Order: sequence, then C-alpha cells, then structure tokens
Amino acid sequence: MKKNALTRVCYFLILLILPLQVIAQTHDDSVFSHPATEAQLKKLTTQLHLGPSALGDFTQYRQLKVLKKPLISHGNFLFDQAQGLIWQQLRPFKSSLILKDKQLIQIDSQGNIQVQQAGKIPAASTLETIMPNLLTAMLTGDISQLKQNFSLSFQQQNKQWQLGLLPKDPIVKKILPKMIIEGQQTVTALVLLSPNGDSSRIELSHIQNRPLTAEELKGFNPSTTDKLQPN
Amino acid sequence: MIKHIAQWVSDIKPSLRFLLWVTILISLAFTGLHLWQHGAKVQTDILAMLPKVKEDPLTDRALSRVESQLANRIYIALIASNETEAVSAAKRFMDSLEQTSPAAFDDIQSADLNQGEALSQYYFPYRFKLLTQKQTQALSQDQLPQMILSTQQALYNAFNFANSRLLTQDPLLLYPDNIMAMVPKNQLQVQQGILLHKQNGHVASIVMAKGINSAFNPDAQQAQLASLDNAIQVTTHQYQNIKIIKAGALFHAAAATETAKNEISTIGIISLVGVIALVWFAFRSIMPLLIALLTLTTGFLFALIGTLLVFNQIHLLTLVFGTSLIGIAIDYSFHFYCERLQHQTLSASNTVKHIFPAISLALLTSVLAYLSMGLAPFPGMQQVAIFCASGLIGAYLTLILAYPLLAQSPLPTSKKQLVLATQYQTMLTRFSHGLSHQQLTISLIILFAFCSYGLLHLKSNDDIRQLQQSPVQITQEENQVRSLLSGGTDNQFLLVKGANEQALLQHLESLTPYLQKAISLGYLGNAISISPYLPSHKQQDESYQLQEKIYGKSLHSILDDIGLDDSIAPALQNAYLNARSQYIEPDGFLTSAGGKSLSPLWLAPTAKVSSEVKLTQTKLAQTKLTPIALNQTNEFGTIVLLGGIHNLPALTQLLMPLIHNNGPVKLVDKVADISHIMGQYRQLTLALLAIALILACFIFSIRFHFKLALIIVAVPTLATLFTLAILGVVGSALTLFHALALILVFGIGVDYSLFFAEAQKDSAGVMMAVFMSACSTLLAFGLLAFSNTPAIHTFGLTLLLGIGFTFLLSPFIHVVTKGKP
Repeated sequence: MKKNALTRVCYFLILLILPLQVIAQTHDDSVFSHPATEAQLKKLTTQLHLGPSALGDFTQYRQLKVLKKPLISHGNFLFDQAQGLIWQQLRPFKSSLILKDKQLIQIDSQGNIQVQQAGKIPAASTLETIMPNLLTAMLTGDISQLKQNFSLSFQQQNKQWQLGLLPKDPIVKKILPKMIIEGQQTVTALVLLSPNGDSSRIELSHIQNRPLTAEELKGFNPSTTDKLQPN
Repeated sequence: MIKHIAQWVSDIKPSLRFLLWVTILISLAFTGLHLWQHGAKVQTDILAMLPKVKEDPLTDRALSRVESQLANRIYIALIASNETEAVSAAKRFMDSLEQTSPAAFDDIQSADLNQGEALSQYYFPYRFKLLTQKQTQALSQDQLPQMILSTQQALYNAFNFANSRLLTQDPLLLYPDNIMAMVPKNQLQVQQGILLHKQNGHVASIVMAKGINSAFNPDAQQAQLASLDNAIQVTTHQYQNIKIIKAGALFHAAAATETAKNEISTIGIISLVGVIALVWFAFRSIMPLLIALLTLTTGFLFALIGTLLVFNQIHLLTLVFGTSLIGIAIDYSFHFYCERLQHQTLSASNTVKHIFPAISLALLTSVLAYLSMGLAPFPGMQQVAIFCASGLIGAYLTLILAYPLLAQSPLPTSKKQLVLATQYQTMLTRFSHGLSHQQLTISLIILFAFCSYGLLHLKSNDDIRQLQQSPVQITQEENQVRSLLSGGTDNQFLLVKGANEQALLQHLESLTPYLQKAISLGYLGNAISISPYLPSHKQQDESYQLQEKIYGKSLHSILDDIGLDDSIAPALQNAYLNARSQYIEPDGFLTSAGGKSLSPLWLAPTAKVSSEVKLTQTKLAQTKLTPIALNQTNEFGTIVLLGGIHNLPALTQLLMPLIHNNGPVKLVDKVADISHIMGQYRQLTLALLAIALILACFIFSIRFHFKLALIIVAVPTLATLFTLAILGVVGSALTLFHALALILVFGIGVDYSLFFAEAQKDSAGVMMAVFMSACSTLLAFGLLAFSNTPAIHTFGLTLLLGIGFTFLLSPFIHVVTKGKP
C-alpha cells in the first residue's frame, strides 16, 4: 500500500515561505463582516440567472507590487451551459482557457495546447479550476455550487451589491484568501485579494444573453492537431 | 533389550512410581508459573509462523523497515454521494480517531497540507541547485526568450500562484515547477485537506492512519479495532448514507486471530466430546474416562511447558494444531484399557509391563516424526513439533508411572466390544483369504494404475500467498481501496546500495529513467524513490552552473523584459553566489519537517561509529526506527517502493543492467524468497520421509524378522502413496504442509502396525485399540481439515486420508502374522 499519499499531492504553497506582509488594504473588504443570509442568496440566484448561454468582454487589471506598472489585459468570454466556458485573452497577447466536459484546455500565445482531465488534475491545480468554475457559477447564478467551496457574505448599497467569498480549501485560502464579486443587474467585476498586497480586478462588460452562433461554438473544439501537450 | 527395561520398570513399586509422577508434575507446574511470570506469552503474530529467510544485513534492515512502516498502516475510504458529505464525514472520522484515548493510531491524515508547506520551506534556500528536466533542457538550449515569455503569461493570469514576493527571489518562476516535479502525478483531488476520488457519481474521501503498535500484537489489535469501530459508528450515525471500506494488514490479522480462536474452541471441544463418547462407548465405566482425561491434561501441561521452555512463547496456531494432540495422546490410554479388557486377570502394573515395548517404540517413532517435522524452518511448525512431542512424552509418562496405581479398578466384564473387533478381523481374514489369485492380481493392477495416474498428475505450489486467504469481504474491500489509491504499494521493493551517500544518490539517478520506462510500458504503476528529493551533488552543481545564464550578466535585461525593477538585481546575484557551497544533504532533508516521512526509505550505515553515523542513529531513534544492532552494515542503502506491479518478470528484465554482476540495485521479493524456501523444504521433507521409512525398516528388523519389519513399514508407505495419489487425482497442489502431514502419518501410522505386529496372535484388544485410536485421531485431524486457515486445512486433510488408509491397511499385518506364525 502507498505509504504516504501526501507525497503524491502537489503543492504550490510558495507564498508561505515568505513572511506575509501586512499591507494596508486598498480595496474595501467590509463585505466580509456581513455573512450572507439565505434570502439574499436566493434573490441573487434568480437575479443572476442569464439563461443557457451568454457572452461578453473583460478587462483585467493585475497589480503586482514589484512590477513597475499594472498588467492590463483584454479579451472576451463565451458561456454555454451545454458546452462550457471559453475565456479568451486578446491583448497584449493571445491565450485561451476552455473548460468543457471536465476538461481544462489551455492554449498559450504560441499555440501550445495543454489538456488536463478534471479527474487527473493534481490537487494543487484546484487553483486553476477555480476561475472557470467561479465564472460559470457567476454567470448561471448557481450560488449553491459556490456555497460548497466558499463561505459567503453579502452587502448591498442601492443597486450595487458585493458578494464576498472566503475559500474553505486551506490551499486556496492561503493563495487567494479573499474574493469579491461585484454587480448590479448582472455581475460587473471580480476582485481577487492576495495576502501580500497583490490584487486583481476583472471587469466584465457588454454581457449579452443570446444563443451562440455556430462559428462561436467552434471555439470549444480547438484544433488539437498541432502542439498538443497532454498533461 | 526392551523387555529388560520393561522388567526393570515394573520392578519399581506402583506407589513409588506414582510419587515420581506427582513430583514431575509439581515441578513442571512451578516451572510454568515461573515462565509465565517472566514474560512468556501467547503469540498471535502470523508473521512469526513464516520461515526466516537468510538475507544480507542491509536487505534485512530494509525488510524490517518496510514491514514496520507499511504493515501498521490502515486506509479508510468513506464513500458518499456528494463532495460536501464526503469531506465532512472524513473530518468527523479523523476527529473521532484522534480523540481515542489512549491513542491507538498516529499519523491520522488525509492530504497532509503542512507537508507541502514544509517541503517548500526546506528547498527554497537551495532553489539555485534545482532544475526540472524541462528547465535544464531550455537553459542548455539557450531558450531564455521563451522562458521569459511564459513567465509574462503566467503573470497575466490572475489565478496564477505567482506573486510579488516570489518574483523578487525567483524572477523566472522556476521554483514552483521543481516542487511539483518532486511529487508524482496523482489521480486524487484535494478538497479542504481531504483526498477525494470521484467515480460513477460517488465521491470517496480517503483517510490514512498508522497503528501505534503492530497490528499483530493482540492488545494493539484490540485497541485499534475498538478505536476504528467507534469512529465508524460515530461517523455513520451522523452521516447515514456513507459507506465505509477499509484496507490494511490489521484487518487480515484480526480475521486470522478470530478464525484461530474460534477453531481452537470448536475443534478442541468437538474433539474432546468425541473422545469422551468413544471412551464411554468402549468401556462403559467412569474410571477409564477420568484416567483418559487425566492423561490428556498431563499431556497438555507437558506440551505447554515444553513449548514455553524452548520458545518462551506459544503461537495461537500451535494451539490449533495442538488440539490434534488430544487425538494422539489418548491412544496410550486406549491401548492400556483395551489390554485390560482382554486380559482382565492382569494387574494394572502387569498390563503396563505387557504393553511397554509397543508403547515405547510407538512413542519413539512419533516423537522422531514430530521432531523431524520441526526441521522445517517455520518457527510455528517447530513449536507444533515441540508441543506435540512433549505432550506425547507427558501422556507416556502418565501411563508408565501413574496408571499402575490409579487404573487398578476393574472394568465391566462385558466383552461385546472385543467381540465386535474380533468379528471385524475375522471378516478381513476371510476377505483376504477368499480372494482368488486372479481377483488379487486385478485389484492390485487397478490400485497400481490409480496410484500411477495420481502420482503422475501430482503438482506442487509453494506460493505462500495461497496460504493467506482472508475472508472474501476483506480482500474485496482491500482491492477497492487499492484501486482508489491507484495501485498502492506492493510487497516487492528495490534496494539500491552505494559505498557512500553521493555514489548511492547517483545510482538512484541512473535508476530513475528505467523506472519511468517501466511505468510507461505498463509494467509498473508507480514508484516512490527518494531521488527527486535528494539530487546528487553532481546534479546540483550542473543545475547551479546552468542558472549562471539567468543570474549572470543577462539578469538586468531579463528583469527588464519581465517588467521588474532593476534594483533587485544585486540582491538576486548575491543570493545566487552565496548558494554555491550550499548543498541539499540527506541528513538535513530527512530530519526536516518535509522529509521526515521519507526517512524510513533511507538506510545509513550502522558499523562505523563516526559522528555522522551517531547523528543518524539519534535521528533514527527519534523517529522510532532504532536500527537493529546485530545487522551492522557499512554501506548506504535506500528503498524504492513499487506499486501496481503488472509484470514482475518484465520489470526484472528491464532493470537487469543495474541488477546483474552485483549491481547497485536489488529486487527484494520476500514472498518469492519464502515461497522458494517452502519448495526446498517440501522436497527435503519428502526425502526425509523416505529415509525415515528405510531407517524404520532396519530398526524394526532388530526386534522382528526382516519380512515382518518390511510389512510394518509397508503400511505407512502405502498409506502415503495412496494419499499422494488422491491429492494428484483431485488436483490439489502439493505444499510443505502436505509433506509435514505425511511425516506425521508415518509417525502415527507406524504405531498401528507396531501394535498389530507386537500382538502376534491374540489381537482383538489391539484391533479395538487401533480402531479407537484411529477414530480419535481422525476426529482430531479430520476436524482440522475443516479449518479456514489453508495451512491447517491442508495438514488436516492429508492426515485424514493418510491415517484413514493406515487404519484400513494395518489389520492386514495381523492377517499376515496369523497366516505365518
């Protein structure tokens, strides 16, 4: 018998080697002091439900303290309940992330394709599956799925609301301890706060709720003939 | 000569003999009490039954490491319909196990999150000495631009682990991949620190624990089972739809102990009741019954004390085997009373004198048979031999010393039983004389054909795994859990040796590609080697040199390309230069929080008492792995655990370049080694049996004429041949246990022949005694054939057949002696 399954588990706890810096939080995280009630979540679920498919644009602002300037990227996303999710960055370089049939497909700027079977994804890449899962939950209003993996809190001012997510998984907690989903009628932004002062803000815009065209659906089947790198 | 001894013994007064007997008994009882107070115990460790294999000291140490580390582990899978339930049930289960007091398990864990942290922490200062295969390739092919590009891409991913602090110390983000490369890919997912396996709509969470003491230690076994039962109860009470399955040596050990205990009581009681019924039927008197019980009790006392004297412990399985002692020790009693029944005018003392020669010879052959059985390298078998031999001596002494005084009372005068015996004999005589030559020839030809067919179809199988047949449910659960853990670890492992640490680590590095190939060819499921954690100095130097390309002159432009501030360059370069003389060392790693769990795989020398070795020893002592002082080695060794072996011969063939010519790698396969030894001793035992038969023939020809001696020996010989033939016909593969049982068939069976040969003309008493002996022996051993422990079953079945044939054949001796007086 395997003596020690932990040696088989991958860990990325790089952050932990480094003393955690106490940084004045630039983001307002007051939402975390208001645990979400069932009623609030129920309301949010019905409000967020977009229908079987949606698409839109995103802009991501990533602030790493040691970089001279923030990293800003743009792209679009396609969501189809039957197919999955395509998250495509267009600028400053092209890269895509496709989640379908429990497969996570990543295509880098050079066209290298990496496929991970969900069942075979090592434990630590839970991290990599968070984003597509989070986005799927956000776009379908599937709050119950979020409740499995996060403690939720909720705050609303006028039409603007915030949903705070604290990961239950200790690994994720150490790397992305706080996440906030912001919205009005629909979801407008996702904020990720790192313990050392790095942060990311992903803003969604031009969200449309319509069936995807045949052309758009093609994106779910990237050509795997070249540079396939199964993982 | 034997007549003189008989005369001499019978000259001693019965009261004096009885006094001697009482003295022996009392001193034995005191010896037993003394032994018990000084730590004699009942042993239930099944491993203690297995033969000892002679191995070189390093291999011995590796074996005991693997056993002590792996044997006590248990694996629990909690199967639920959804993730949340699986995770919380696993947490509840682990809590319950941890709260048991006194603790039965330690190392209770699912996914150990602190381990990952600890590894990251340990290696970070040595990051300049580490490169993955891919990174080595990229750097040696000058692919810096691509490396920078992929760093940039990683930075743009908001969900990447890259962060400011890491970037300033590892701008190309090389370190995380190195930590990842150290641990093999895994089918399991982790959710909140719990290992999960999802399949067919079910989610199984996995919990592991290590028993604090050996699963084969009766007390520890009880404590562990109780603690587990409690945890299962608590968990299933709260989560009622959860199914819990278990794997580990503990459950096999518990099942074996349970079976043995049940069998001792059932076989023992049925055997005893049968014998009592037999005595009652034969003698219709309370006195013979009491005397028989006294004989058995004395025999058992002798057996117990004898075994404890020699081994200072008695194995539970010895007691199972030992129940058969009832069937043999009672023979003396039967023989005595049958004689009394036939010659009622003789005093008890004279009866003893009369049967003394036959009884003594019978004891001699039985004890010899048992002792030669003890030549087999099975500590368990040796115990059985000593147990039965001393038990028989006890019964014999009781007969010689105590019967003359105690068994004086006359028997009821009914001779009905003797009449029955005489009738049976007459029938046999008529039958054998009634056969025409033609009929005799035909039946002999049929017998010969049957024997030849059976003997030609006799196969052998020495694989010891067939002896460990646990209940189906346990095996099924074990396999289920194993498949969840994708193969688990097998019994076979690799031992890699080296004259010093660096040589060993380089050997390990050369082994890695072979193992990867074996895995990709499907020979092997997984391998756990210490190599990824401990690169050799040579490899560390190479990795360090290659990183010159990053931390040398190009660093400024690299930092600029990534978008990092140039001001961090001097600190980085300093760190790089300072790391030159720092190496990842086995001692440091294996004592670190991250490496502790791997330290059982490492075998440091124990012979040289250098400060370094002393350090290792204190370290080992701390981790409760005190090296065995006797097995001193001056070589370094490391264990590579193998899991999911699909094709052992192909794997061995693949590794041959590293194994042959006394190479650094050795495949340790204890199961195969033991099986091999079993085979050798099976052959040896059968040869021994043949020699014993020839020897007996000569010994008997001193007392009887040669032809009679030949016939006496022919009875057990034919019984043995018939038994083997039947085993061959039914397709039961021959094992050492069959061979050992055949030795006993000889030892017991020859008694019957002897009794008949001694009786000469007047043999009704002997016939009755032999009938009763055979009944009681068949009762005892026949019951063993129903045992669930394969070794005992085999043993019992062989004896059942062998004694059965001996019983059928031995009266013909009388036919012969009567026919030719």
